[in-house]
Amino acid sequence: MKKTKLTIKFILLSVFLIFLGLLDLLSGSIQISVSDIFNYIFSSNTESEFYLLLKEFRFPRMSMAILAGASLSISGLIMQTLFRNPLAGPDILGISSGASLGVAIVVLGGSYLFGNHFYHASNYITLIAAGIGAASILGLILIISYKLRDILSILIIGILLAGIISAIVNILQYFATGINVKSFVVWTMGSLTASSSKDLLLASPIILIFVLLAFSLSKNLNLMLLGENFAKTMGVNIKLLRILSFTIVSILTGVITVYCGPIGFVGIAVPHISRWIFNTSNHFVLIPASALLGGIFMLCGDILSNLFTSNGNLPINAITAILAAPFIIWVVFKNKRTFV
Amino acid sequence: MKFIYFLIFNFLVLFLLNSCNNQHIKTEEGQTIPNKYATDFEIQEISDGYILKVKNRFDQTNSGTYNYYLSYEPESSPNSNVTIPIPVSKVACLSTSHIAFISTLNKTSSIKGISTPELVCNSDVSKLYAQGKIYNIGYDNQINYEKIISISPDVVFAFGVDNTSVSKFQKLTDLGIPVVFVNDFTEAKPLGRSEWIKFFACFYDKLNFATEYFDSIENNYLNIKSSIPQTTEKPKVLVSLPWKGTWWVPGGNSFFANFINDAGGEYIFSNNNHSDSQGLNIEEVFAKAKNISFWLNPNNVNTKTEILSIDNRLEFFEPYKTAKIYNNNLKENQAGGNDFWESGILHPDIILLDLKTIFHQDSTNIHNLYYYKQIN
Repeated sequence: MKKTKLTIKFILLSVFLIFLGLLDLLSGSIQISVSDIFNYIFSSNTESEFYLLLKEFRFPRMSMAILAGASLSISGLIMQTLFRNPLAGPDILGISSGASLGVAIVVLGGSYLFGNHFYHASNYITLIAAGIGAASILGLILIISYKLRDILSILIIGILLAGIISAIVNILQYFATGINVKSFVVWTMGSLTASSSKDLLLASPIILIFVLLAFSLSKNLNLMLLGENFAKTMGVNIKLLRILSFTIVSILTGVITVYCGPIGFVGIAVPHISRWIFNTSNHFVLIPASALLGGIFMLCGDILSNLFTSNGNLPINAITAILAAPFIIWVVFKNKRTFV
Repeated sequence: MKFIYFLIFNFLVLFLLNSCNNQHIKTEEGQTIPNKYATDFEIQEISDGYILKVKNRFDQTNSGTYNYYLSYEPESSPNSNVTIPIPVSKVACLSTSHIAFISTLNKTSSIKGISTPELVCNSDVSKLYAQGKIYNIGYDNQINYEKIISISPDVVFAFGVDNTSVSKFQKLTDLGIPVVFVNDFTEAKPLGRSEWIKFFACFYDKLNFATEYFDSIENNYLNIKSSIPQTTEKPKVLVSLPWKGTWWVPGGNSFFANFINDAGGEYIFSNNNHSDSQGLNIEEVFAKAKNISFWLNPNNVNTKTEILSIDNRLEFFEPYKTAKIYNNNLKENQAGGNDFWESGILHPDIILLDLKTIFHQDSTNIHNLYYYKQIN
């Protein structure tokens, strides 16, 4: 009976995700119809008026929304379990900040360091810089987690690292010219529209691999809920689990930050929504549930951002914060049992 | 009791009169010298100098206008908040366009402080800076107030972006260093921006020179404009590049849109009534950019490959495949300072000639592009 209920919930959420995905494909500055979308999917007519629009803009935007929602939500769930802290999220370890630092160095300081022509805001350079920034912080966190046993100390160090990075970014902003600050600020606002089909082809296999890897850790994460000592007695290699978890979180967050900019709140809010809807702490359920709900959440954000303005330019970061923050407050007050 | 009311009434009347008096910089109204194109400044000639009025589109306080009283005899002038003795001999500039205006007036030697020296294209100013005769006074949030005070300029030429930029300079005004906001960049007409040379000329007592100079530019501009072939089908023009999915395009009433129009082109966003830049969703530009003949000013790229490195979807963009791409960065220095935005402000005639050459290549005109280059 319980299993049937679970299956029904997953089916309903999947149908809702597909419906929102379709709605997201329809929303944008240019009006297209459902038949245009089906024509694109089934006939692959490259001569069609909307072929390019759907292939290079709408599909990458919709897919990136789902991938971002899933990645950030799973990352948030793992962090909350690992740190046994309901407010832990993927950006708490400073990984998003690391990516921001990479971009800040290139966009804000690039013209000083490498001359104007290097700077010229090349998307590839921005991507590489964000990747290096995220990976550097990940490396640092891994070294720290190897040396420090206390998980709370790692959390505090992560927050402090994020603070230091934010200070460095502030200094870079202070010295940068207005136009460079604007470019950087636009990046920090987050954007799903910046991704192309090529970006999607590059990002999706990485995300898929690490989502599956996260799912494979479900059993160990379940045991971690009962405390580190209990998990140890059950044969869980805590150090390895931590290293694997941090790697998964860093890669998933890093890849999304690289392509969409830093997107906040999704990673904190969605795991709570998953626990609330499925009323469980079992990671075998919560990981796929968070992936589905994360996708739904980001699609809602994207559809709303397209509804509010005719040219669909409302920053996705602002929309996710507006959507998620009240929900977190509501969860805190109304349903304390959703916490880990 | 009536006596007390009488006293209060008198006090209020005196207070109001005093307040009104403080709001006026000077009661004398001079003869206004009409502008031909510029809309955001006004020159009034008075017996001992000029009253300059600058419209600030970003500041709705102070009636949206700044008043500056320029006087040959400041000692004998009536009390004023901003009185600037003229002619000035030491100035500081916060924009490279200010340098262009001053050097055109042959007063480069008066420049003692500049912002972002690495972005300056004027070779004389760069040389003086290298010799230590001109100082870097910082920019934006990094204004070096101590350096400005040590230079002790007769006037600091700034530009007002919003209310915060006004309050930023209050410190200098309090210390007796006059700050003049030059909002040439808000002018929508190319000749309107150039006409600001008259504004600068008042500080150097060279208004006649500036008027003659401007008239010659205007003549050139109008001659070039009238020589442009009138075709029924104007070439369609696209401008700029996207960044992170947003394509910032000049408004339909902007400075550059007017240039395109005067050069006989059809700007694809001309129906947009804005005079400043507008952020459009990249897919909107993709859909609108059909049958584009020319793609201009793609930021500061030098090759088509660099365009793709900004957004690889531009590979499928029709103008990328079919349009001729030209950028205005032929006179760009190593640090990225672009002379188009410096000396170009005073040479709209040359820019128009460049655009005419680009748009109407079949015509018999032979002109080597000055600010523009083709991107391949």
